[in-house]
Amino acid sequence: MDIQMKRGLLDVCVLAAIRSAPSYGYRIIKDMSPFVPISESTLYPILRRLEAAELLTVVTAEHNGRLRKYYSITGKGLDRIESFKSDWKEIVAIYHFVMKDTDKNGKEGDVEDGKNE
Amino acid sequence: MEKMNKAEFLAELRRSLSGMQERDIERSLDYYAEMIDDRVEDGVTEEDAVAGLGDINDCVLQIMAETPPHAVKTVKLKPKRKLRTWEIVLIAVGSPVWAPLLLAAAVVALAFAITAFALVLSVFAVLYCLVISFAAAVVAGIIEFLTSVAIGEISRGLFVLGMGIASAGLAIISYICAAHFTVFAGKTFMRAVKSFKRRRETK
Repeated sequence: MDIQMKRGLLDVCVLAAIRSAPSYGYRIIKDMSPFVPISESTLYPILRRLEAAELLTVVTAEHNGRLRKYYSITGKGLDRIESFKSDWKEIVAIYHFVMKDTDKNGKEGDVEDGKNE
Repeated sequence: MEKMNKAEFLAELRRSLSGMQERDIERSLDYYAEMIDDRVEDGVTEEDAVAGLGDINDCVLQIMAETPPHAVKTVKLKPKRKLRTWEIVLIAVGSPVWAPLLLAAAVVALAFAITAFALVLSVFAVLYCLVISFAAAVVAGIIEFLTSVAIGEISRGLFVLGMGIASAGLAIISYICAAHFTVFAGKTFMRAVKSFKRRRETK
């Protein structure tokens, strides 16, 4: 996938992973993995970026005699998820436009697949 | 690649990141330490947990991805050492950005220099042209005066003589301007050369 596009999508995925309750790095990766596989090294800059943008806050807490960082979403982070939802409608519309064209030309496109999402 | 334990991995990571700010290094080491501990807690061996993190260079690259550019400054202040992995990666990754920028800056600087030079040259040209043309007008005025007197048209002769004298005045004024400008430009140029020399000597 296009790197810029993926970057933005992963940001929202990480926010979604901590939306209902604060979570920690390893847990975020595990929760995301059935949908979006992500490595520890990829997650690190995302967390830093989201923290810098104040979309999440970090709290260090003790766990089993060691420290662990817990990430909780902020109001700004929730806003970001909402704006992603409205962006997504635009993306789906673009997808339909692109696939309609390929469908006419070469029958290789699958418009139905897009509509079901 | 041989298997590393947690301490070896973190030491290697620190070595690769040296040159970055200590705060940023600590943060990333804490993060990876936590990740290894959580993997171990989940039931894998320490070595497998480290191996599961993937290539260490990728970790370094990702840490760099969100590190503000002030880290790069730290690199420049320490020229007497070999470049770290992440620095080479950063320079290579950044080359599509900095190479054209550097070129553009050089071109702009050259354009400024040429423009300044052309500007000075054109001022010279204008001033000396004025001097020459007024001087020529003086000569023409005298010749015209003499010929007019010779053929008996005294009033016409006096008129062109007057014009000639006026031209002489203008020629003198413009010559003074030109001379002053020449001295000024020369002094400025010499000063620039001197300061450039001095700067090179202090280096």
